[in-house]
Amino acid sequence: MIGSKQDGAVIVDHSASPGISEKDIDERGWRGMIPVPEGRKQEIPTLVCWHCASTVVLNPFRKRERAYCPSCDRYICDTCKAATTQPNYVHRSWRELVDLVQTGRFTVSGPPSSPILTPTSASEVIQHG
Amino acid sequence: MAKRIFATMAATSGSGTADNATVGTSGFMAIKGGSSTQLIDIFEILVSGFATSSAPALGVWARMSTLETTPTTLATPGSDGPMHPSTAALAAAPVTFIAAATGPTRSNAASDGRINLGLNLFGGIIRWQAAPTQQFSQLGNTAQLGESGLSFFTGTTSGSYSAHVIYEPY
Repeated sequence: MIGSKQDGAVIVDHSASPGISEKDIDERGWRGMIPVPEGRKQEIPTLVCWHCASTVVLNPFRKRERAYCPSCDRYICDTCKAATTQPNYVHRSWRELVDLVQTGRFTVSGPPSSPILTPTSASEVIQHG
Repeated sequence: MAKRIFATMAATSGSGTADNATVGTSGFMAIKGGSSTQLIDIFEILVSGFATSSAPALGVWARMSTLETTPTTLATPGSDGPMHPSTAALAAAPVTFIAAATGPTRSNAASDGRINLGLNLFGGIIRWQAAPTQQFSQLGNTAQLGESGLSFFTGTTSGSYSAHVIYEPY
């Protein structure tokens, strides 16, 4: 999946622009930004995290392996991977979260990697509490 | 239940704001769910720069950790409409806006995903396009899963830009 034709993409076109150089990035402290200098056009793949539905722009210079959820058989972001190591972690894909909220029995809040489901009625607290 | 395009024309980026601070009263574009259960998928974001001199700009599409107050009703040159002419009116229309009495606050949570849309607004163009099933999604209408938007990070050189977002509410 990672690096395949199934990825999304960010396309930066600075073919008619001064672009953004490494110097621009260093001066501004924009860590993690990928330079696309003057006259260049670059396509950078993106993936979506199957747990929090956030899009991740894949840094082409990264060497560490990317996270993967064997239950979902999909890519997950580093933050959601870290969440899986927490003692009270409950595995729930984004799609499962959406299904729960769209029943109208829960509202969702909190960070995407550790969403907080709040029952809308007392009976749900007993069932899911 | 149909794809829509939310666009802003000739907006000004400003010099950007830090995370966990309000993005200002204008110069951004944001989408909030129309109900507590509404799912919104975002499929494409395009930003094209129209600055008249070099203007490195760190645009980001990010979730909002504090919602705005009193979003200004979208008016021209901003727009938000269906891509198909036969699209029915939405029962719970998402709130799309480019100005507010107090702008939303861009999340600074390291646990929040964001799309890096950095470009030079002097002639630069950036487009993010999701592959099938790879869309950026938001859920509900409360922080911080229920609203996301385009804004600019500290260090941006102010410049003019136009942008569009293709999304679909469910």
